[in-house]
Amino acid sequence: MGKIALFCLLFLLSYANVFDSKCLPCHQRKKANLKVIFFNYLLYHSSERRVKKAMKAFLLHPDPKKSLFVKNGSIYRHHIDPQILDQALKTYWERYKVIGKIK
Amino acid sequence: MATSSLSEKKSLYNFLGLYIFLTLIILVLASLMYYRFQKELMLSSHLPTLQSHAKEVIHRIRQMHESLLEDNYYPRYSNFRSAIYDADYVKIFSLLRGKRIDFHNVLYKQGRFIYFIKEPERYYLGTKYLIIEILDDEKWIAATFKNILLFGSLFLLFMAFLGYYLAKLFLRPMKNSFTLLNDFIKDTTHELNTPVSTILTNIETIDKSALDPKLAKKLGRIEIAARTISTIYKDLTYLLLHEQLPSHIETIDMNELLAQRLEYFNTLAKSKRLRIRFSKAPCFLKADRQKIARLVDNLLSNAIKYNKIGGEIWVKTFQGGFFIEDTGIGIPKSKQEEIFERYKRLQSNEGGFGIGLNIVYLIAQEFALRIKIDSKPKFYTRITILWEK
Repeated sequence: MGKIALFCLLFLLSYANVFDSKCLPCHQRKKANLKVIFFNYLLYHSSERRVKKAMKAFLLHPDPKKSLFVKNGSIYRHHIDPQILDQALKTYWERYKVIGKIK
Repeated sequence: MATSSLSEKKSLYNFLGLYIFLTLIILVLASLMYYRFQKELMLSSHLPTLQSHAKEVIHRIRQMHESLLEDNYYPRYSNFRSAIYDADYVKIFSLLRGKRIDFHNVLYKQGRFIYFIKEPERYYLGTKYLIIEILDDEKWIAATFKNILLFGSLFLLFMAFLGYYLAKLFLRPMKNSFTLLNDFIKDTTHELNTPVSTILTNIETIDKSALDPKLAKKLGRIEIAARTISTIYKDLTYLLLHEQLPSHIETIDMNELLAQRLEYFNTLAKSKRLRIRFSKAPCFLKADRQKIARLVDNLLSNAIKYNKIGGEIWVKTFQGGFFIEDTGIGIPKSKQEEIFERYKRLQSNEGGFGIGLNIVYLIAQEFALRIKIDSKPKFYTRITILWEK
């Protein structure tokens, strides 16, 4: 029973940290600033719901025409599970959201 | 005359009531429209300033956005306040004093504040809606109310004059018909007295027992007709002159008076084969004898006129009042209020002008007598006259 609980906890932690463990290092390597990307999405989509929806749509079905950055070149295709993506986007939003940070 | 002016007044009040009601509705609607117009005008006058404020805030939040919120100080101004909301109406940041925002209106007033909602070209910091709030000094409200009061009063004054003119115009035909009727009655009665009195006096001098029964019957009919004319004459004289007639107050023995008047109407009652019952108890009234006789005559005349052939009349006196009951057509409850109005007749097939009960009412009013009607249509009518003992 204890082992099952520990397994579940580890599983959840791995989900929660997917943004820091997977997204962040990769974006740093590729010099694709996540904060810049976030503010660009904010500029075109406004609310949390709309931003997350647009990001998820693009990451699951990348389309150069819908990209805010790459218009003609090749785009990176993320291979990511939708559930894990939701968790990553949640962390991403919490990390860079403007609500509560304006003085 | 008194009743015609009463009726005229009633019609005038009805007309004025409706007229005032409609005028007030127009006034309230016009005032509301004027208020709304003034409000819109006031809001429009603030629009350039509000747009300029919005431009300043947008410029500032653009800078904040471009700094990726490294510069996170939201702009504050002494003359207005602002807030930013995202596309899902979630508050990003707000300095507003008002709590609720109406996102369906671009420019509106809520409480003491004026709100202006501007949508920037791009969603800087996620801003879809920028709200500018300024304080309304509400001077325009005082000016608006002052104007409403001034022009409303002028409008009411104008409508009052118009109403008065229209009322006069509409009531003129009614007044004319009353005058015509009164003039007619006056002219008709003028020369009636002498011939009727002559007929009655001469009939009374004839010894009927010495006459042939057929002739006596004919004479009886002439007597009934002459007495009817005499009653009508007395009624009309009372109606035309009652305001000038002085009252000689005396203590009247109502039993004696009622007996005398019953005797007077005896021939008429006999012609309808009516049975008269008179129950006496001591009954005295302080009033003018002639006028009370008119009151009794009218009640008896109606009791005979509206009774059925072979019916009954019951007259009863008691301390503080008397009643006259007939077995006639009765008076429906709905008509009991209006039968005292002049020229009101319950049945048009019976003779008369419809003035009898109006005379009863006028006399009762003069001597503070109370009239009580108990009636069951097609069965009976009892009119009770009551006074303070």
